Formats: sequence, C-alpha cells, structure tokens
Amino acid sequence: MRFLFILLFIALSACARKNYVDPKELAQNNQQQSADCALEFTKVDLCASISWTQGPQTPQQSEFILHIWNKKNANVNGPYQDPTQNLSVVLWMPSMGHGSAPVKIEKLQDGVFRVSNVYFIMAGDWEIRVFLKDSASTVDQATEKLVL
Amino acid sequence: MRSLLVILIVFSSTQTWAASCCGGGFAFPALILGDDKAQLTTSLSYGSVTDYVYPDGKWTHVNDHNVSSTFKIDGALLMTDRTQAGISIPVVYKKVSDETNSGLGDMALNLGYEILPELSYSAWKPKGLGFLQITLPTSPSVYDATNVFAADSRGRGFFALGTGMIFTKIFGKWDTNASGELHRSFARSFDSDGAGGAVTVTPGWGHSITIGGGWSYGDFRLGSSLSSMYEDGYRVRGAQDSDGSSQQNMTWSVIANYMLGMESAITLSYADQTIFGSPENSNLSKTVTLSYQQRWQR
Repeated sequence: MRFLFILLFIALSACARKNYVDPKELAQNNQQQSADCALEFTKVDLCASISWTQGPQTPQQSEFILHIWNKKNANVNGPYQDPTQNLSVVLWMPSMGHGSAPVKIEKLQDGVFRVSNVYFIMAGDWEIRVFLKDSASTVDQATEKLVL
Repeated sequence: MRSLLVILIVFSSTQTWAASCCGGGFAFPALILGDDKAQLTTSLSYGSVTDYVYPDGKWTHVNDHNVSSTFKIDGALLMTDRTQAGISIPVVYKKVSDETNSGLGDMALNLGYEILPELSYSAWKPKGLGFLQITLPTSPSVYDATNVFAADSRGRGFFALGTGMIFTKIFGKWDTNASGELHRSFARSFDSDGAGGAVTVTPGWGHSITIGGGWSYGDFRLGSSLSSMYEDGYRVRGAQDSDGSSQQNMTWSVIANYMLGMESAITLSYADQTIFGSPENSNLSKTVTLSYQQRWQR
C-alpha cells in the first residue's frame, strides 16, 4: 500500500503541463517571415521571397509563389530574373530529420515560379530549403523556417 | 495461481507505444515469466494521434486524422530451463488524412534469460528476466515513403539492438513490476525523394523505463503503469543535413485482465501519452488494445 502511495505521488507530480501555442499567432509569424529578401543566396547575389497562395497549413495542400531577383539592382517588387542554375525546393523537418513528398515547380514568368504539391505531413518546425544546382552539385542554398 | 498472476502482470506491462511517423519506440518483448514452455499473444490496438509537442515543449492539437491499427503476434518458446526465444510480428494499418496503407511493421526477435528465478519464498526478492532483442527494418521508413503523408511508413525502418530487464513481485492481492531497456539503432542510407537525393540517417540511442502495479480479485486484475521513453535525434547527412532533436514522452496505461483458465487470458488496456511527463518533439497518441494470450504449460 505504501508503494502505491509513492507511485501515486510520483504520477501526480509528473502531470504534463500543456502549454498550447496559439494557431493564429503561428499563422501570423509564418506570413511575417515571408517578407522582402527572406531567402538570400550569398554566392550568386540573388534574393527570393515566398508568397503563400494556400497555407502554409497541415495536412491540406499548401502552395506558394517564389519570386527571385538580383539583390544589387532589383528588389521584392522586381524586376525578377531566373537563376542560371537549376532550381530545386525541398521541405524538411529538422527536428524529426525527414522531408515530405517532392514539390512541383512551374515557371510562370522570368524569376517567378509556382511551387505546388506542398504537403507538410505533420505539425512542427519545418524548413523550405531552396537549392540552386549545377547538375548534381549545389551552388547555393537558402532556407526559410516556419512553424506549423 | 501465483504464476498465472505473474503472467498477467507481464502480459499487461510489456506493451510499448511507438511514436507515430518517424519517432522513437521500442517494442518490449512478450516474455514467458510463468511455468510455461510456450506462449502466443495476439493483440489488436487502435491509436489516434491527438497532439504534437515541439522540441521546446510547446503543444499543438493535431487534426490530420492520424490513426493506426496494429495486429500483432508475439510468440515465445522455452529453449532451456531458464532460456527462451521469441518473435514479434506486427501488421499495421495506417491512415493519415485521406491516405491509407497497411502491411508488415518492424519485426523483432528476442532471447530471454531468467536472471532471478523464484525458487523459494522471499518477502522482498522479485522475479527477474533479462533479454536481448534485435528489431528488423521490415517496414518502409519515412525515407522510403511514396505516399504524400507517408502513410506507408509503418515502422522506423532501422536495425536496432536492445537489452533490458523486467522484475515482478506479488504481495498477496497486490503486485508491482518494473522494467527498463536500452537500445541502439543503426545508421542506414536511403535514396529518398523526400530528401531530394541520397541521405545517411543515424538514429542513435534510446531507452525506456516502466513501473506499474495492480490489484487482483479472483480471475480479474486491474493494473496501471507509467512508462517513459527517450530517443536520440536523427542525424542526417547527404542531400540534406540536420542534427535532429531528441524525443521523449511518458505513457500512462490502465489495464484490465481476465483469466479464462489456467492457460489463457484476455486483456483490455488504454494508454494515453498526453497526461504525464514533459514530452518533447513527439506525436502523442491515445491507444486502446485488446489482447488474447494462450500458454502451454511445462
């Protein structure tokens, strides 16, 4: 009986403290991060920004427009330009150490790309990793973080 | 009767609830603790992920309809007077959002040895078993997943080697049990679409500790246990680099057993990961399990 009292004491003192995040605050933070030169490619002097057209959200599909410009002679409003390297986007969850399904990239005009099939497969901390590649090797990389 | 009670305690305390998706978790082997030469345990569990806890300890509700059902067969056979061997075969059905998948989970093989036999009466000395277990990556991991929501990731997908001990003690109608295990999961390389190329993933170390107790009345036993688990973060190198965050959570279970006879028993249990502990970087679930165990006496 004494053991059960000890067990009960341990159990009660170990009650979880459920500190829930505010979903509205999370959504606001994710939108704020998408301003101006959120993605900076230092080696090739390019900037990029993300404008969400759906989401970011889980588990439903998200979608965003990626604008790319030369950071020396353009800004977030343009003019936009294509990178000379191949563009690739990976969704990555660093805390869990895994990604998501491959995204689909579609060119809308010079320096403007629609990135669809964006599925964040679970809640948590995510990174949108944008790579500029020559064949298989990465020339430059930039990352935007978000929390879902 | 006493040995049957021992079986019920272990039967109801050796279930481990793995974090869904890519998380930690190590299935405790269903060991023979009574005077039996063989036992077969079948269980059907239904679990739903209700919350996610960020690495900094903050919580969020999960509404992606992430549910899973596992049908598991655990077999154990006595090899010598004190040595036994066992196998665990899980079949997993998983649903995330509108996506479903089913198939074999990660199988496990184990060897057990009775380190503290109960040969004579002792007011304090418990009965104890030690074990070694190897987990085989017989299911796709999250790195092999081709489903959008990785519903086809039915296990961790890594080789793991673990060792642990379980102790039980009966005091009349009351009983207690304690167990612990330490395991190491080994690195694997994957060519993963989700990672954008080849990655090598190193999971690292993990452990779990369980304490529990129960009360019996005739053929019924009502018990409860508290289990804490820890798993190192996944270190990823290759097409993507990240060091990962460790995972930890605590599972509280309430268990009802009923002995159908000298050689069989059924168990109904409820496990909840949202009540106790300071979870970090974990999907937390609530799980109901119905089990049936058949034994063959020596």
